[in-house]
Amino acid sequence: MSFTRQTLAILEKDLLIEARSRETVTSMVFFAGLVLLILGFALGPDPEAIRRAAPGLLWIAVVFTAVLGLSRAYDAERENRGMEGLFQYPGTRTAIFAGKLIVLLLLLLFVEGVLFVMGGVLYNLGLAAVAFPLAGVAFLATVGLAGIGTLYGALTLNLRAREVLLPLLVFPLVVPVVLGAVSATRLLLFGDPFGELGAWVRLLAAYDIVFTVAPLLAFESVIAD
Amino acid sequence: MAYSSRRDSVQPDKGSAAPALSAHGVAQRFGRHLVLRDATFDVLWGTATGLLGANGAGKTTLLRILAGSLSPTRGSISVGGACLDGNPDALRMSTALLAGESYLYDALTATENLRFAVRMTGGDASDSQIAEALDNVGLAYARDRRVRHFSSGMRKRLALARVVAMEPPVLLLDEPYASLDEDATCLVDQVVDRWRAGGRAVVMATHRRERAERVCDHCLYLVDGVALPEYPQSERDGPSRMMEVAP
Repeated sequence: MSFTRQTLAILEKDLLIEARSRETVTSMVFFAGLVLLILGFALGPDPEAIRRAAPGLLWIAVVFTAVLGLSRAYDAERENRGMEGLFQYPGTRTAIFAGKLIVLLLLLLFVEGVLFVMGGVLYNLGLAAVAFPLAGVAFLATVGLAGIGTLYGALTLNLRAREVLLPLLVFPLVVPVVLGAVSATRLLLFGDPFGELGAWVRLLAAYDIVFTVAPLLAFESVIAD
Repeated sequence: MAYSSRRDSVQPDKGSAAPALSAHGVAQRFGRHLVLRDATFDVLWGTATGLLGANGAGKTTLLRILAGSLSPTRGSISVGGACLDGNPDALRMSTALLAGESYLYDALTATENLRFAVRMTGGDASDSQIAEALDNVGLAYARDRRVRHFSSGMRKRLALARVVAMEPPVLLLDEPYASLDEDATCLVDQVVDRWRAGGRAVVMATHRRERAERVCDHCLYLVDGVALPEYPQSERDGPSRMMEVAP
């Protein structure tokens, strides 16, 4: 069986399901907006304080919102034991991971796009000037988030306390992503006098390799039986 | 209907001495429960085998093992004479399981569910082939309706169409008559006949002993985790249950 063909079939199926319900994207966008507002209120009326904290606020909102998306990534496979059905197709277990990873990546990138526009307006940030490099940083950070989220989403699929366990498992592991993304965003927004940006980008890229390639290779055995 | 799927699977060969499917000494244990102790049997090409037994006798477990979705605690499975120890993927390539759960996606239509299943097995199905598959199970009128709005009987029919569309050399049916009306019950029998006539093989687990003995070429009776070729007298007095074993 073709890995690419099965990955595309899963991708198409999940996007079609999401396009029909729009449940995940809608809830993620509203949640992201609320988090940005609440964080803004928490920092008080000083616009300069909010601007300085903005890179951290944006990525906190991204990570919280991502967890909401991760917990829903396998919802379609929970009804009628769809995951068991997927396991019965020949050669699909790594394709399941790859398909789910791409779906989650696309959803997160879309929500981040909306979230960054909202954040730019709410916190008065000049994001348009750094849109392209910021998009690159966001892409690298999101690949890492989606990789770890896809793996743990599958592992916690049939657990009763799944919604509680998932953030507890994922948050500690995404600390390097948050650190790298916040630092890179700060350097893009406020200048990079010491040329540190490259190091943070390399950290994000290395994390992406580890948390997409390793789960891809291990997925079959990790979710066996 | 001929899909270009299952290209890499074992092909039916009625003239071959090698059975379609062989289980040898298959045992399965879940914690302290020994569900299967020693299931040893052959399924020949061009035949249908009924799998009978009381609730908890291990019929579903055995079918899941034959479908490659569960690795047995002990024993081996061969398909077309090739032992598939440690290669569940080859087993999945040669079988498809109609399970108790439908494995359908509620948000997709009947057509989309079938198309997805065919694509996942490496095949392609045109609109007319999908329409024919749905017509064969009496669901042509509901082809563009989302599964969410299906009754349990319609879901069962669609699940049957799904496994048939996957064109497996060995078809595994777990309680295929459950939730079905009389018309749909005949549909199941027709599918079994078609598979047998095409030189392929069927293994069907059911509680309906009389029907299984009528539809299938021979039956196996799961008693105390062992597959027996004859219906045991002891089962008439009271069915056996799962065995407790020492931890």
